Amino acid sequence: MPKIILSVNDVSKNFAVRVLDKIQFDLRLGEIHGLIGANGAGKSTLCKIISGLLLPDSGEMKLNGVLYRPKNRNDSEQSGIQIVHQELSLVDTLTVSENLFLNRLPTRFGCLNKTSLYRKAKSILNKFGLKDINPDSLVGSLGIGQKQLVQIAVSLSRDCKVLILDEPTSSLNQRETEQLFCWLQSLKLQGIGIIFISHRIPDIKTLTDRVTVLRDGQSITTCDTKDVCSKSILSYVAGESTARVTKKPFQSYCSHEPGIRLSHLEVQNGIQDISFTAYRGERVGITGLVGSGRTQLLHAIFGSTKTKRGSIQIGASEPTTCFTHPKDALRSGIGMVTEDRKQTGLMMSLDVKTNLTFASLKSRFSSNGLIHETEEQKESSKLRKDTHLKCNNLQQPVKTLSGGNQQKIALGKWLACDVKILLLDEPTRGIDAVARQNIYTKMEDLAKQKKTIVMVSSDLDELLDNCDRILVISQGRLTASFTRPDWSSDRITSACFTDQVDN
Amino acid sequence: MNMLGTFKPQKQQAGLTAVLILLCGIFGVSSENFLATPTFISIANQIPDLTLVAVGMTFVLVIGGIDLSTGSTLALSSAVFGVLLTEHDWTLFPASIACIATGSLCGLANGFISIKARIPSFIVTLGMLEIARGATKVVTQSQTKYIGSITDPISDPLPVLSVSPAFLVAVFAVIAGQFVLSKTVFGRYCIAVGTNEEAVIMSGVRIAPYQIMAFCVCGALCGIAGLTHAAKLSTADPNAAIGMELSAIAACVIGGTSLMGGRGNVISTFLGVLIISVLQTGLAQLGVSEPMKQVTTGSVIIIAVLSDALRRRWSSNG
Repeated sequence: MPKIILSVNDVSKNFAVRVLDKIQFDLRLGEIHGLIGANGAGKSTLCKIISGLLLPDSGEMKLNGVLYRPKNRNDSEQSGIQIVHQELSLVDTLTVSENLFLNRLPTRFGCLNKTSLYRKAKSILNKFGLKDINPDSLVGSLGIGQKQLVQIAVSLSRDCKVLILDEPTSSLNQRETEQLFCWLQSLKLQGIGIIFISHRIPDIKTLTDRVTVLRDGQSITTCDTKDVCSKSILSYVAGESTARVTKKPFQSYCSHEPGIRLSHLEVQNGIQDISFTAYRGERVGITGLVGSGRTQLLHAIFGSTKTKRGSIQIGASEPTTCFTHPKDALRSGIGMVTEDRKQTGLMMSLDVKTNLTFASLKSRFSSNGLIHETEEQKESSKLRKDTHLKCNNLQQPVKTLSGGNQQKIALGKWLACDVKILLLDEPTRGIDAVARQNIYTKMEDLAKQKKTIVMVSSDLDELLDNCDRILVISQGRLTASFTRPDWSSDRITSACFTDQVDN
Repeated sequence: MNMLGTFKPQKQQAGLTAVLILLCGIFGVSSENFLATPTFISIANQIPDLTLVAVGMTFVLVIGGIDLSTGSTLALSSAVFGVLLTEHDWTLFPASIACIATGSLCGLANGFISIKARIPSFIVTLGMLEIARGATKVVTQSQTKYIGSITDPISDPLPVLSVSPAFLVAVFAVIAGQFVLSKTVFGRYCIAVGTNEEAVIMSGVRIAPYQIMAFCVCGALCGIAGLTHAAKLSTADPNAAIGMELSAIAACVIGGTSLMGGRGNVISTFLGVLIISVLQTGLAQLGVSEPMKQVTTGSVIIIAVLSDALRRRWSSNG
């Protein structure tokens, strides 16, 4: 019987409602233990209790057989429990090496010893296979994927017996994910217990030794990963709603009328000479490695990045030069759901209604500068139903909603504008399976209405399930295009890496 | 998961009104003259300047800016007004227009420079604070200009109501300000820009015109305040309204406006102005010394903001 490093017995936690109900959980020495459940199932609360950020109402925890009662984050770190949250806690204005050693910067005569810092940081980054990250670069200049890797490296570089990873792969591409999984496997051999929280069943299947499923605050089951199939994990996660998340066969609504035609789009030090046409009713997927220019392409179309060259043609109109402001793009019927809904998508402290009608406020819900409140209210109630948004009322601040519901608002905002072309950047990142399905269904509805959808995603499976065509961007250039049915995930994945192999 | 409710301005205004009544009660008990019509008329005739400036300040704070030049802008506008009336024989109406235009121009300059050049408004308006004060002294040749009775239509009490037209203008500015903030596209954009600039741009809105407009509104209101100020004292004083920007910020903050932007309410700001002036008047009637008045006012500001912050924290941690 393998040694149990951390055990959680009958832990319960109530806020206004019961969030955790007699949770049973144990982590063995040197195993990777997956924790899966829908949003609100209690995964984060459990992790907060293990890492001392919350105190349990009842139940007990044992670490190496000894009663373990962390009162704060410091207690848990002292005991060797490190947690990496979905929200990164790096200082953007400091360098990678400074972030790695933030709580123990090497000094000489009271001054920062830069040489020693660089050396130490370099050795840590090398140890974890992050050779391509320069210890001297500012964290703020790194892409989100690289930041995530640095963040995990920060935790690993401290005393670490139990590592908790909260959705670590949500912003990573396939290569980075594989790289991460490799480290985790090697850490496991060093006898570290890893709790791996994820929405993604394939990741759980590939990586973990055992998996615990949480649903509505209860631990439903714990089993050896190799003994369960993806389908049965999903049925545990979803409970009775399994039927809703079964895949529908793809149906194309692609027409022959052009929706948007790009010619030779170019951004300084970014995307190069990108041309393609997306048709009305078509769903075009764009994939590529993080940093390949996928997001930049969408921003270039939307006018939120300065373009150097190129023209855009909407529908049957004359080609025009690229937009210089999102306002012009919106006027031409383009909307964009951004990658980071907290930073650029939503006004988190404002209410649901304000966010839903914001982009269309001027064109649809006002005249002479005055807001028509009744119409605004009516339309937002309609959008709420339309997007399957779950909220108590329309006056609720957006920040109190789950990620999935926030994303529905970010999407709903453009539905209110009735845009002809919708750009989606990682629209399902960090949201649960049911909300994901809602978004896919909405995309299909839009395609049916002959709207053009251009969607960027790191999740190739989601593109394969929901797109008519998949374009691959590598190092700023469009390198490959795949259409149904002659595509396969390995061919697309290898296309993402083509340029890297050549160079 | 928890009781994350919305934070309603009505609730907060009820709280501020309670504080106001409590203050009146305390002064009523401790000073026999406080709860009498003359006290309230005196407060009503005293507050138009601060009210107008505070309404403007609310807009600037809501978009996430700050305007430190409001006191100087007020002084410059009233100096222009006074000099035009006394030395250039302008009549009341055109001189008033010039006065408001002066304030608006200062606001426009603040907005244009800080938004277009992306310099924090704290710094730009700090510069404007000095520029406008210097200009005031140039215009008045550093002398107090006596305007005389020409401005009486603005400051004389109206029959029956016993308050001055200036007070009515200030109350109108409060009502109109709140209407603009909550019912117009401009107001909605101001709040949104203060909450998350990036998200507003990415929703297809060009934000610069709205930001500049907020500074301009503030400047125009300072111009009107310059008018009421000059009328009240029948003078254009080069040292008028020194430090008024801080009183205005205090009124906004007591009213729950966030210095980080995105949250503000003009009615609450007005209640903040009333709390400050009731406190000032009441303490004066009690014969409290000037230094102790300052200490008390300062404490009230901190207590108000503290209780607001605590309430907010409780209501969001359920």
